[in-house]
Amino acid sequence: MSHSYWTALLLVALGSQLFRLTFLGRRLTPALPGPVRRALDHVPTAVLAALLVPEFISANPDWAAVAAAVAAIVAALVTRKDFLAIVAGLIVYWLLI
Amino acid sequence: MDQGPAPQSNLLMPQEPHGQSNQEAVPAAGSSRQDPASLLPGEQPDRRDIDNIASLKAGFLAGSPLLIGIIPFALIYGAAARETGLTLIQTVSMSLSVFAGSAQLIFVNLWAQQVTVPVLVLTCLAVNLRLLIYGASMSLRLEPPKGPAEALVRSYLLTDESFAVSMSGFYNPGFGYRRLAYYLGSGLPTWLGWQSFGLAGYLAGAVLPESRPIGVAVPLIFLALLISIIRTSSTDRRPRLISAAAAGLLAVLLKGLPLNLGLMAAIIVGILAGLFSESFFRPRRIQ
Repeated sequence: MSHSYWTALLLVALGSQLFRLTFLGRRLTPALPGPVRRALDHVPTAVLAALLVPEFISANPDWAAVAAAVAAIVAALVTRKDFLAIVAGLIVYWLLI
Repeated sequence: MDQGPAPQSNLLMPQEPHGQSNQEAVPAAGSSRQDPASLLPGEQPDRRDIDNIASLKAGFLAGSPLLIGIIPFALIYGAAARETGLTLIQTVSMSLSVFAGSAQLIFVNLWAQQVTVPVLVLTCLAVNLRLLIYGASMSLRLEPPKGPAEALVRSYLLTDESFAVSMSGFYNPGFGYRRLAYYLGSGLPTWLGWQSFGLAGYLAGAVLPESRPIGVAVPLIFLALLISIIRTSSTDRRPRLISAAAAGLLAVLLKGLPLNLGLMAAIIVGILAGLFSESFFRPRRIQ
């Protein structure tokens, strides 16, 4: 368990630094091709959605978590503040569990 | 110095001031960043009559307001890491070595779900791919590094926040600092805040009652970030919505696949869905 943790951490750390260094550490900076850049634009959306949707939607949903998600969505849309959305969701979750 | 409005802290998305993108004309290799001909449209020239310390301080001050957005995420990261069972050394090591909030939160989230190492690594790296774009865009505006050590330091401090603050400064007509020092200064508050409050969150996790689990805060952060990305998109929002819907739906449907391959498949399909849906909508910029 611990070995796999350090292996995963090492790979994520090295990969992240490599991404940072790829262009910023060079003397020549090629422009990213358009399709690649456009695909990269969609990565955060796809990753976040793939991670969070199964947390709230499943065969046996945790209804407190679902209510927290709804509260967070409403708060995010109304206040436009990420932090307030998280706080609203967390409060609803803690009240319901 | 009038920095204009502080850019909104967004842990995931590139902030391209004034519609700049990394597809701009690339200055010729070796061209001086003092040469007005080598500057990108709207970019202010580097100031050699201002010393590095003043520029570093100015960058630090410009980056400090973003701590308001960083501190809660760092506290939740630390507390969630503790709840997941990570040791203090493991938690701090991740902050020091990865130094990317969203990837670290994803790491903790997937570690708690006992996802396989390859899937965990690929997912974290996928979300950090944006650093390539930041690096490409930033490298157009800085002198080439003088050596490997400088290259490592400047790349280590590349985050959503330092990128956004620096770009905002570089395009401010009143900008009068050395760009590299300003950029490094802008990254320091984020680094200090993330490390110290991540540690504080871990320690504070010890006093949180078990009846108040903090783990649900991580997917709530993802949710808030996703809404923020879609809402603040400078182009048509529909492709992003389609990308999110496709990825989310497929992640639910494929959750049972071995080795958590459903997660990777959902991400890839989500990206492709967003990409292909762009061609169905006429490009238009959100005002």
